[in-house]
Parts: sequence; structure tokens; C-alpha cells
Amino acid sequence: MKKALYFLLLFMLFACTTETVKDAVQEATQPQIYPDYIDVTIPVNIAPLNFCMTDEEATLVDAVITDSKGNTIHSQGEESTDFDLDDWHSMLSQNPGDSLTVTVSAKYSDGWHTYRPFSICVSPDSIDYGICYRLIEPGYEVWSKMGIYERDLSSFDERALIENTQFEGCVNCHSFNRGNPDEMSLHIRGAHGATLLRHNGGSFDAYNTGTDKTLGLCVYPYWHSSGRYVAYSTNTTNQLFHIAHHNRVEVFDSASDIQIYDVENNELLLSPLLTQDSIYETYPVFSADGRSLYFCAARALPENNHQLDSIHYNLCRIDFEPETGEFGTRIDTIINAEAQHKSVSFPRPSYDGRFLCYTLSDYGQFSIWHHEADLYLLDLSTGQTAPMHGANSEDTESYHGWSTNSRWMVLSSRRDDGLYTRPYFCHIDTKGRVRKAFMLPQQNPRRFYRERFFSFNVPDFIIRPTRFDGHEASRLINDDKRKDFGVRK
Amino acid sequence: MKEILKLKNFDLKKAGVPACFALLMFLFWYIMYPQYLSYQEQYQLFLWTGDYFLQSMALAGGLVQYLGEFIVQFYVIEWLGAFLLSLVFVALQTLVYALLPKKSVWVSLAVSFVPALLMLYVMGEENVMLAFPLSVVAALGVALLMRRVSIYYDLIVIPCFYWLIGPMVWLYVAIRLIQNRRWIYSVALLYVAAVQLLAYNTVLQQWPLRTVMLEMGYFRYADGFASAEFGFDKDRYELMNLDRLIRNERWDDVIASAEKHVVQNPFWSESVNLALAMKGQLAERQFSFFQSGPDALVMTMVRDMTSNLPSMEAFYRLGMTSECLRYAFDLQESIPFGKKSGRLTKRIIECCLVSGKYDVAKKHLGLLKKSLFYRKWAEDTEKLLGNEPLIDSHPVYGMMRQYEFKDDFLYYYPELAKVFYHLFVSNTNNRLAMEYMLGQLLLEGDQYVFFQVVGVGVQYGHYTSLPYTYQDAYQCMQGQLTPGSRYAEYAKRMIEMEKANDKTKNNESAH
Repeated sequence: MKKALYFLLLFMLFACTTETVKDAVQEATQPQIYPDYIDVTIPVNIAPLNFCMTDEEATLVDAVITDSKGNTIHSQGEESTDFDLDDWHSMLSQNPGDSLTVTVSAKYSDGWHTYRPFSICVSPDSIDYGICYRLIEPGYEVWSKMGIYERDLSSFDERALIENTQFEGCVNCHSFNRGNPDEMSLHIRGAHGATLLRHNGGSFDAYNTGTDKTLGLCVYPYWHSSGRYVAYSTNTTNQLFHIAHHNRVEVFDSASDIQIYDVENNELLLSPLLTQDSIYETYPVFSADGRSLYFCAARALPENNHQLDSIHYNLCRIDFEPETGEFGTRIDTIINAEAQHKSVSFPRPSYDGRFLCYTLSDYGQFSIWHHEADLYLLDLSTGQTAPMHGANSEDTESYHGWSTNSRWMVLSSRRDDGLYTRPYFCHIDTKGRVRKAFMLPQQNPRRFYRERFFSFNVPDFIIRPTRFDGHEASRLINDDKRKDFGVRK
Repeated sequence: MKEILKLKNFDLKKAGVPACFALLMFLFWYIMYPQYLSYQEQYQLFLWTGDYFLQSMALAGGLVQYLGEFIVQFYVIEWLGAFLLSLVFVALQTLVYALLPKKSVWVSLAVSFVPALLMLYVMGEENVMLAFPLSVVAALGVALLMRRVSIYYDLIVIPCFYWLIGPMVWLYVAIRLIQNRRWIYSVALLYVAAVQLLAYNTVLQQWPLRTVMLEMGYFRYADGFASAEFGFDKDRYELMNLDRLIRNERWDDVIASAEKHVVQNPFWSESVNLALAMKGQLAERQFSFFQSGPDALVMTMVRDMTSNLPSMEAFYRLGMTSECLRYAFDLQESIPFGKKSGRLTKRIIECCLVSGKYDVAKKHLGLLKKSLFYRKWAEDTEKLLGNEPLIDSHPVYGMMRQYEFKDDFLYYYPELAKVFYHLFVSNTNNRLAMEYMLGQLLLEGDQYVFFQVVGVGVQYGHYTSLPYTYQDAYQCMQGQLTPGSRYAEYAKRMIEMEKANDKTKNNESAH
């Protein structure tokens, strides 16, 4: 017994020891690491940015992070670094606004190589507690397992809110009021379709959002800052498939309108300006002060016309009176993308009212399937708009959302392989300068992202855990009782 | 013989009963229903990684599911799969015999076969997973081992066993109850329920209660055994057989099977038409076989994991890479609970390779490299990534690249004939595309376009004479009805179907 314990101790000792980097070849270049965390700006409360060498030849990867005061943390691993969570957070919390220097060494068959150090800047701006997203495979018309999940950004913890193992159908369009899960909207589609709504932290109710005065069910949601209203679009969505194009899928609306749901009075507010047959209105979002409604609008295609590449959405705005729920009488075009033969989608104003971020693609409104889609930032005070170079890549950037302090953005990107969407984060300062985006950190990023066959869909910030009772939601969904949305006369 | 009958402790091994039963079971699966093995294997991808094991063990019943998938991966070698499966049935029969009282040895022996035969009937429903009989075997085996062990140990055994074999722990408890005959043991029934409810409210929160209590991992679909069709339905198994033959490119066998047994549905028609086309017989014999309608060559997307298999295979051989990829991807997505398929993953990789999507191909190759039977193929195929000359000169992938559409447009199923036309025009060496184009026009009854293009098709098809199908259809369309005209029979059936559909619509609107 003693011998066994002795050998066990020896084994544990050897398992914990690291190899010393010695006689390393000094490389003039910076390391090629995955994910690319070189010269990124990170929030003070983010999880460790573990990484591995891009090539798969390295047998060991070693990283030493040093701050300006000489403090260091160290990690070494066979596949990737694995920084101790507490050490990492301690290092970051001691260096807000400062840079960390990362020295990477990798062991190959010919020995150690040490690379030119790179920097990681620690922003004093914190990031919200977490993000909430849907995981779904990037299929065409069918889905298998999917669900809504939340992830704590200061660690690697991920938790399922609800998966479609509990009911027949799909779940989508999760939405929170400025990241506050006390106000949440979630759609269920399929045999037990419903919209689940939670208001003021109460329990969920299941609604049938279709009415005889509207086009169909409510689709893309956006909460008013007061929590009293939710802007929805209603869309008749179709999809077709390219026979020989690097953009696989075209998702398009053959009709769409906008409506506002008054949560307190359980009624939809309609405006003839937002329900025109000759216009596709979609993606409504409230301004930071709640007195404007931004949305995307395009001229509808004539009947039997399938020239999808002629559909160009502009960014528009209409007044909104939160006290009365009345709409303005005029629509303003904020960005005339049609004139540039481009198309706007996913407008998202920052919560401080300073900027509006949107996706620009060649045409249409479902930009995730457009490799050319990029993010743009509109300065609401000057009207200037510019591409977000720090966030964009050679491939798709699409859905995005602001953190509650309006300093961070989470964005969907397909830059990894052109198909599987990953969440990235970038810092935007008060002047609109966009720092280089970094991928959502994982404990072993290569293994995680290579072996995960799901796309991260609609990543949105949350300010605390959602406290979502999956069993309760499942009961609501599978019970066919629904409350109906009314319509204000 | 008399001595054997007189034996108090009847020794099964000596009598060779298990061996005979194993042989019977082996022959049953290998000779009569090898398509069952192919069907099971193609809807999973067992990975030889610690993560895959841990992922399985993270759910109740994980061990039997893992073992089931471990065994099923060997079905790719049919005789080996049949052998392993027969062992499961022998184990079931042997354990039942061991647990039965031996007042009459022959009666016990006879009765011991009943569960195994019942299980055979149940497993004729192809969506019953191997985890189900394995869990029964496990429950019987552990009950046998524990028969002289105090029931108090079940305080630990029951929760552990539930986690390892799933709800079949109820069978274990029922056997223990019978073995012990102590009323206090009936508390174990409540204990099992409590364990399951605890799991439901903690670690199995994303699963419905019924699944947690009764069916975890035993049935492929979420609705469990409620939708099951037990037994070996002839038509269903014929379709599975055709798919197995197509998967192995045994075109002659497809045609031979079709000549013996007709299943009147699109899956059957598509399978047979593909085999005919691959053997250069489509133009001659298309309407000699049952044609389901305009969907007899290629079906529109159907949301299940099977219906679109022949269409996917047709797209692959036609060189319609994007469509093949779409169908393969969605077929795989149709497998419940996010399970992967070796066959479909392979097809996805091939399509990505042909269309230059090397990153996505590499990701999927990484998956196959962790399997046993797809690893070699994956390692060989990985060498092609980014190597344009090698891909271009590959006999299959190079040809697919040559056949690809030259110009982009949006695929529209109702205009399938036009799609085939564009494919043929992209490369007039694509004889399959030409025959599918003409075949589709005939299925749709579009005589106007057929008359316009048949001459061009025949010219590029290098036929020595006008193929019978086109001849027959041409005459039929001209009003020259010849006795025994296959195309006329088809046209008549389509017209009758349309009339019946119109009548149904009128009746519905009248109410």
C-alpha cells in the first residue's frame, strides 16, 4: 500500500512539472498562434486567453506573461496554454489600462523556439457578466440538436438554458433588455410554437403573437429601454440555394412589416408607415433614448421577380413616443445603402447614444451567408460612417451587440473557416476607435473549436445569469395554452 | 440422448445450444438482413477519444449507448457485425436461462428463447438502438451476479446502475424483487423512481421526464417507442437494401433486386433510376420500372435522415456538388440528437474538397481521423487538401470539377429539368446529366421541350439508335399509342392521380 502511494505521488509530481525552455532558437517573428490574440485589447474581467500554435507540429507551447511591474504568470501545455484562472484575473486586475507582454516558446522536433514577444492591452473597461447565444449547426433547411446557452465571460463555464431535446421544434431570437435577463423574449417554432416573454423578473408567459391585423408571427425582437415595449418585425421568409457560388444560401423576405408590442397592455402598436406592402421593413431597434425607432427598409420586388441581388435595404428612422406609443409621421433615411448598391442589416445603437453599428453586404438582409458582409460604425453625432477595420476580416462579420457600458461589442464572424460562426469581441472607445477583435476564449481553443460543429448564433450580452428554468419553460411550451397578442385600435 | 434428458443440471454448453442459436442469429442478420447492419452503421460515427467516452457517460444509460455504438461501428464489415450482434442475442438467451428456475430443464430452455425472439421482433424496428438489448443483457447479468448478495448493497448499485444502463434498471429491480421475495424490497421501486427524479431535476434537466424514466438512449427518436413499427416489414427492408447496394455501388444488384420486388414510392424509383443510369440503361429501361412521378429521379428536400439518400447519391454522380453537399449536410442534420454519420461526413468532405472549401473539409476530416474504419480514408484524403493538380487529376473529384456548373443561378426544384439542362450544357460529356434531363422531361410530361431537346440529347449520347424509352414516349406524345407502351401506362397513371387530387380539392372546398 505504501509503495503504491509512493508511486502515485511520484506520478503526480511528474505530471505537474513543466519543462524548462532552454537553448531556444530566438525567432525574429512573432508566433503564429491560434486564436490570434496578438496585440488585442481585452477587458479586465475576461477569462484567460489560452492559445496554441497554429501549426500542429509543436509538442509543447510555453507562455510567460509579464506586466510593467515585473510580475509574471506562466503556463505550459502540450496542446495549448492553460493559465490558472485566479493568477490570470489577479494579473489583469493589477494592470487596468496597461499592457502585458507575452513571450511564447514552442518545442519542436529540433528543440525550443522563442518568438518575438507581443502585447495584450488590458482595458480598464469591464465587460458584462456573460453572453447568451444559440448553438446550431450551419445547415440549410434542417436542424438537429440546438439550444440556447449562456457563457460566463470570466471563466469557461457554459450552461444550457433550453435545448430542443425537451420539445419538438426550434428555439431562436432570444433577446434581453440591455442585457438584463429579467426582461427576456424567446421564440419557439414548430408544433408547439410560442413566444415566451418575461417582464420585470416575473415568470414566463407563452404567447401566440400572430393576429388577423398583422402579417404573421413576431420575429426579430428589440426591447425598449423602459422595458415597456418590444419592437418586433414580422417576416415571410424564404430561402433558395446557389448552384455554383461561394455564398451557399440566400435567405430573403417576400414580405415584412414592423410592429411594437406594448407589454403592459398586451397589445401591438401598428403604423401604416411601417406596414407598407411595397416596402420590406425589418430589424427594428430603439434608439438609446427610446424616442426613435431605427429599422431597415427595402423596395419590395415585383411579383414573380426573383432578382434577389436587387434588394437593397437602407437604414431608416421614425419617431416614437414612449409615453403614448405613437409613431412619427415621417420616415428618415439615415443611410442610403441602395444608392451604393449595398444593403444594411442588423442596426444596433450603442446604449450611450453615441454610435450605431450595422452590417453592410452587397444585397439582402440575411448577411451571415454573405462572405463580403462587414461591420460599419455610424457616429450619430456627426453622421459619419466608416468600416470597423479592427472587427472585420476577409470573411463574414454579421450579427453584433453592445455591452451595457457601450465599450465592447460581441460580433459573429466566420473568419475561421468560412462556415462555422464564432463570437469575437472588440473594444470601441469614446471616439469610435475600434481595437483588434479577439475570439471568445476557451480552455483548449484548438480542441474546442475544431471539435465543436455548432455555430454561435445571435450572441448577446447579459449582465448576470439568466436564472432560466428549463423545466418550467418546457412545460409552458408543451402545454398548448397560449395568450393572444391584442392590437391597439 | 436419454442420459442427457435425465441430467439434473442441464449443461447448455455441452448440448451446444448457444452455438446453434448463435449460428442461426448470425445467418439471420448476415444472409437475410445485412441491410439492417448497413443502416445502423451509417447513422453513427464512433470516435476513439476520451472526450467521446466522457460525453457518452455524461448521460444516464451512457455506458450501454457507448458499448452499443462501439459494436455498431464493426457493422461496416457485415459478417463481423452479424457475428457480434448474434452474441448479444445468445447472451440474452443464456442469461434468461440461467435466471429461470430449473424444475423442468426443457421448459426453462424453451422459455429462455422467448425474450430473445421477442427482442428480435422489436429490433426489426430499425430505430431501436443496440443500447436497448445491451441494457437488458446488463440488467440480467448483474441480477445473476447479485443473487446471493444482500439487497442493502442495492442502495449503491441502483443509482450507479441507472447511470450506466439507463431506465432498464427497473428490470434489474424487478428481478431482485422476485429473487428476494421480501416485501421490504418493494421499497426499491420507489428508490429507483427517486433516483431518476433526482437526475431529472439536476443533471438531466434538458431531457423530458418520460425519456429519463423510461427510454433514455434506447430509441433513436425523441418520441420513443410510441412511434415504433416492430418487425421486418418487407417494403421497408427492401428500401434499406437498395440504399446499402447503392452505398457500395452495386448497380447490377440494385437492378436485379428491383426486377423482383417493387416498392411504389419515390425512394425506390430514384434508387433504381440511378442504378440504371450508372449502367447506361436509363434511356432504354426507365419506364420498364415503376416511376413514382416527377420526383422519380430526384426528390425535393424531406426532413428526415433517409428519404433524400438516393437524391444525394444522384447529385454526387451528376457532378452537382453544391446540391450533393446540401443534401448530405441536411441528411446528417436530420439524425436526432446531433449524431454524426461516417458515410455522410465522408460525402461532405468530398464535396468541400471539390469546391475548394478546404478549411471545412479539414474540420470534418479531423472527425473521421478519430474513427476506426474511416481513419485511413481520412488520412489519405487529407493529402489532397489544397493540392489543386492532385484533385484535378483524381478520377472522381477531377471529373466532378469538370462537370460543375459554369454559371451560378438559384436552384429551384420545380424547374429540375432546366437545372439538368444547364448542367448538361456546362459539360456535354456529362451523359448522366443529359439522360436525367430527358428523363425528367418525360416524368413531367413536358412534351414541348422534350421534342426540342431529344435530338441533341441523342446526338451527345452517342446512341446507335433512338433508345426505347424516348421512342416509346415520342410515339405516345404523337398520339401513336402502341400496345404495352410503358410510357403510356405512366402517363395514364399520372392523369388519374391528378384527377383524383382535383376531386379531393373540390370535395374539400365544397364542405
